[in-house]
Amino acid sequence: MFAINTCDLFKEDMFPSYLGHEEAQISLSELRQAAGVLETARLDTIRILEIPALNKVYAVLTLSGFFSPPYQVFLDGKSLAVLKTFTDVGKGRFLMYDPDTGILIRQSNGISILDPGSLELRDSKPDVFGNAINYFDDPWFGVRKDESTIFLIGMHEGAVSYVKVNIDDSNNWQVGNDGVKNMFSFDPSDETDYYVQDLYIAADNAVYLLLGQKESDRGYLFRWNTAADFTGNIADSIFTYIQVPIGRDGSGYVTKAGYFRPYRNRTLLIERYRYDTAQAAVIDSFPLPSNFQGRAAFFQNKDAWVLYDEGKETLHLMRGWW
Amino acid sequence: MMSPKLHYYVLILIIAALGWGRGTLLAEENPGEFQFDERTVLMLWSQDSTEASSGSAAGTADQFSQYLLQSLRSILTRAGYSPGETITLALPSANPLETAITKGQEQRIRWVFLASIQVSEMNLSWNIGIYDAKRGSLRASDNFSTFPGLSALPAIDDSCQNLVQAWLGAIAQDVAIVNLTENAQQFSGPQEDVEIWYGSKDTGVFAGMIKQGALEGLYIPFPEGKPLTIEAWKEGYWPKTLVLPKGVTDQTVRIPALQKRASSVWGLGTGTGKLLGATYLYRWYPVPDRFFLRFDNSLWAGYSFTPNAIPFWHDELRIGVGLYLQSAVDGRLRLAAGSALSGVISVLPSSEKLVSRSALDILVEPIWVSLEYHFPRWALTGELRLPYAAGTGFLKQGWLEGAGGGPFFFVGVLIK
Repeated sequence: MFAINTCDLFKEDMFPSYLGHEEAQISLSELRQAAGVLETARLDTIRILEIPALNKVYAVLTLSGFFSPPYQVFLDGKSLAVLKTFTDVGKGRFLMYDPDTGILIRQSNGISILDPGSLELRDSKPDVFGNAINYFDDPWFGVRKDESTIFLIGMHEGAVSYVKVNIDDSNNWQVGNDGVKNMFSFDPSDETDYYVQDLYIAADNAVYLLLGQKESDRGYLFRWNTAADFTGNIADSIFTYIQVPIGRDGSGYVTKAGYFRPYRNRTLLIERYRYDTAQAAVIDSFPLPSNFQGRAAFFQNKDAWVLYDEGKETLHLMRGWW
Repeated sequence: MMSPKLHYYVLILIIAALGWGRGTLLAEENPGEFQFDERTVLMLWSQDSTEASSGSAAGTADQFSQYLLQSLRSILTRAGYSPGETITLALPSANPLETAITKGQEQRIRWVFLASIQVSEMNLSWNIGIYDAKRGSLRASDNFSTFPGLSALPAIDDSCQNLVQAWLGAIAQDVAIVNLTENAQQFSGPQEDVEIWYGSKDTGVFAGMIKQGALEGLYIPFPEGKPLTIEAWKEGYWPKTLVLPKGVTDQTVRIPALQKRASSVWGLGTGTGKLLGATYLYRWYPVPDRFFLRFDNSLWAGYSFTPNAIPFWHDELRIGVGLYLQSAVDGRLRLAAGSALSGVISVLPSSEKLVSRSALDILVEPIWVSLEYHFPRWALTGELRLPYAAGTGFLKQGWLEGAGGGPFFFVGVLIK
């Protein structure tokens, strides 16, 4: 115990210790200027989009604010350089990559398809959601089942739902009338308590879906053995799950390196857990300044992460500590 | 400047006065005898101006007489005795011993000074005797003759002083008056070359210097059982005054180590938030051990000891002021507080992909507090810091906190 505490003492710095892991940095004001975003826009979410086939990785930010439209800003995940800005993106959180299609983002009531290399607009599928938009508070993720079917996953009236998007031979996209399903009924009495936090498709094709429980520090990490299981008859599919702790801000991240969540006790830490066991077990942790405010996002297949320091309004690309 | 001999007597009397009080002790050596006031002196004098028929000569004689009496009063007062009534005798007494004893016994005053002054045109002479009305004896006397000019005044002073010294010497050896110690006081101490003074260094008697941890003090027949004040003194150190409540005893008196008088101090240390580094500090004391200006320089690295981490280098230059809050300047445990301002230059070295970054952070400390434990030439210090970052560099604007909140803690050593 003493050795651990002593070691922790030596790790303490008057300055943010995370800076020793920094690889790139950009201030929010620089970012706004480069992206053409209004000064009133605040950072909402950070998502990481990895495209290994193209050796590309993007940090995708959503920003919004008073008198400001929602923005979706693509940054180079290796340098945090601003690459592209999109507006009219709904709440701006929907993001999906499909090798056969491209990068999918929200555009009004439809979907824009971007070239994964250049981020240029490849195609636009307006009004995909149609009335189905009413079934989503906001879709976050998408999984392609086959050539003619894409599942969009989000929340509906507090429960996890998915929308089945049918693609016909003419490449018209349309939500099927029967496409909306309650995907998960883990505890029907509590179903309105959950929210979708993360989706991770591992190299072995296993699908992990992280649900957080509102007003608690509990989360549930579900695992389907294959994407086919996940996108098959979802409501009846076989899955396993473990309980994991969720950050106080409701965040948690599933990656190849482990499950991450912020935790504040005596100090503020980001804890890394094993999740391939019956119970999530802490592997290690990374200290943040005790007065730190901000959020993080983790690369799912690389030893890297992104940290936003709300106090300094700076975004940092970080090397992994594991 | 008092002579060492006079120091000696004055000291004895001061010590005696401490123990006895002034003018309150009446001797009771033999029940049934008179009780005498032994702290008051009765002064009798007569003047004979044989050729002073003119008024101016008589006036000159008066002036010398008054000067002599005033000189006596002054010396007696310094010696701790109270000059009592002054009685003018019409003629020089034919039997001064009888006159003095009679007057002393009448007034219950043991010590009677009887001065006889003769003035002529070319000569001024005086004779002073000090009589013991209790024993009926003469204890000291002095006489002198000189030209009645201004040069006579110092001669009068010298004569009075010699007389009082002789008297004090005589009664100091009088065991019937006080019981005097027969041994020299032994001292010991951890510091070499510490001077020990009976009384104070300014007005006392030098008892000796501690060598090889010990000193046999100068023998002085101090009254037994009476408190004795001594002062330990060493060049460059704070003196220390001690009171030996029982005076000189056969117990060795241990002189505590004196604290060095700090006019400048340097030190080394480290603290939370910068344990991977060190702080060099310098203090300059415009008011020794009371008020100081401080200059600190800290160099440290922030490092998380995790894979892929690189050291984050910092150099802090800090200036400030400090004040010791307790009244004693040579206390062992001391509390100090002050304010400071610092600038921290931080360098994030370049890595494979990162271009080196550096920035200057300005920190303001409205108050810092330190607790110090002082040894004679060095001290241990612990300090609490609560800096406020101006937000000019890597730090965001606001109060800086240590891990888990709260102030940063610094520990170090000060070398005086």
